[in-house]
Amino acid sequence: MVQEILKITGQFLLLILLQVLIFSNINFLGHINPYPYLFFVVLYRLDSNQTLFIILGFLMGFFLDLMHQTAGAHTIATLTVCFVRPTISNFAFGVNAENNHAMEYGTKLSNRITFLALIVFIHHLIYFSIAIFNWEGLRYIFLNTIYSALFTISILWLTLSLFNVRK
Amino acid sequence: MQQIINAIFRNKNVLIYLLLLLFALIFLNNRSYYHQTQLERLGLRMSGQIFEFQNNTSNYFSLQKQNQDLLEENRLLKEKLTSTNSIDTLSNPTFAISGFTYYTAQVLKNSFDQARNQLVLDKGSIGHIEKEMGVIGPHGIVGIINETTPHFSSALSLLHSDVRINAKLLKNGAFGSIYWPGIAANRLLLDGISTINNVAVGDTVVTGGMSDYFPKDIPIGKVVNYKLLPSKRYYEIEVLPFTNFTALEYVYVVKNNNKEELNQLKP
Repeated sequence: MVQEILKITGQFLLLILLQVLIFSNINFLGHINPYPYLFFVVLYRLDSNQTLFIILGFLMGFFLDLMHQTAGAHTIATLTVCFVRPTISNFAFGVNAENNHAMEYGTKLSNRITFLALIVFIHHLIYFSIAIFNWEGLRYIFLNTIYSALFTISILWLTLSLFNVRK
Repeated sequence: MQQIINAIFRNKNVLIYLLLLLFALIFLNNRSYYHQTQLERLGLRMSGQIFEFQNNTSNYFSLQKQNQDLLEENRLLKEKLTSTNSIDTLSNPTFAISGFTYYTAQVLKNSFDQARNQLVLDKGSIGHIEKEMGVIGPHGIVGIINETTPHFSSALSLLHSDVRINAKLLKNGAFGSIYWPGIAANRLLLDGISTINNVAVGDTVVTGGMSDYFPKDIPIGKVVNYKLLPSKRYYEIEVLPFTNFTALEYVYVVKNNNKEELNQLKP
């Protein structure tokens, strides 16, 4: 139990630092950044406390907002994606939804991709909608969402494949 | 009771989500000026529709009174027109550069009971209303436009504690700035008038030409009381506004055509 808490806390802090120090400064093609702090949302055990998960998601977004000097876009996006994650996992894994480590053991590739892509796309769509917050910017919101989401998904997928040696 | 508690526990995730979301929205609103104005604009668009309906109905019953006011104002304007025609406008440079355009608008909503009062007008960017234009009523100045949507606009009332307007005494041109200290809708304060000038109860206060928002010599109010500040160098003058802020119906919105040019000269 203690080990679990330490692991989550370490993951939490490390992801915030990595995001702020490295990934938010990539600016690929001018303005496209990945948001791999969603690792946290993807990796959190499906059977752990959902209430705690929502609060942690909120805190993560809140810290990122403070460090990025943004108004509240990270907070709202991360909070919402944490809140809807049970629905997403039910949709993606169907009967296997009881599998606790969603991205690790014995789930089908297509299920894992659906799960990951849905989380990333929903998060990015909310994030850019709030950051831009303007009807005239609709096209920009969608383009940004798609580019950044592809970027984030590839980074998450590569990292997962690297560390996911236990089959 | 037990059932209520059970219901709360069953839906605790939803409740926590909504609570935190609310917090995040407040955070967003307070932290970003852009989001604040966008949210305000949304609110303005909704309340504008409602107040327009309300006003259309109530307006119908005060048509008689409004007609009289308009007639009275017309009469005053005609008087003014004849008096200006007698001045040689071409040789007088102040007339040549005073490029102000007037638009009429109707007041949909008007508050006077808060620390920061605002008006909602029935014309917006389609009706040529822009941010930072001055608003003038039939009897004197009213406020400054601060937000517009295509069909509506909102204005900071002179009864808004953050608004300060350049003003002067009509009789000797001594200028200072006028603002609303709060409390009563019929008391404004004029400060910055140096004690070398003569002040008397009943003097008229008008706009000075130094404000970008208003032409000069638009009436504001009259002096009802004044006192020396402790430093003995400036007066603090109580002014009774000519505009009755509790009963506004029609206003004029004034555009300063030279504003951009003037701004280029400012540091």
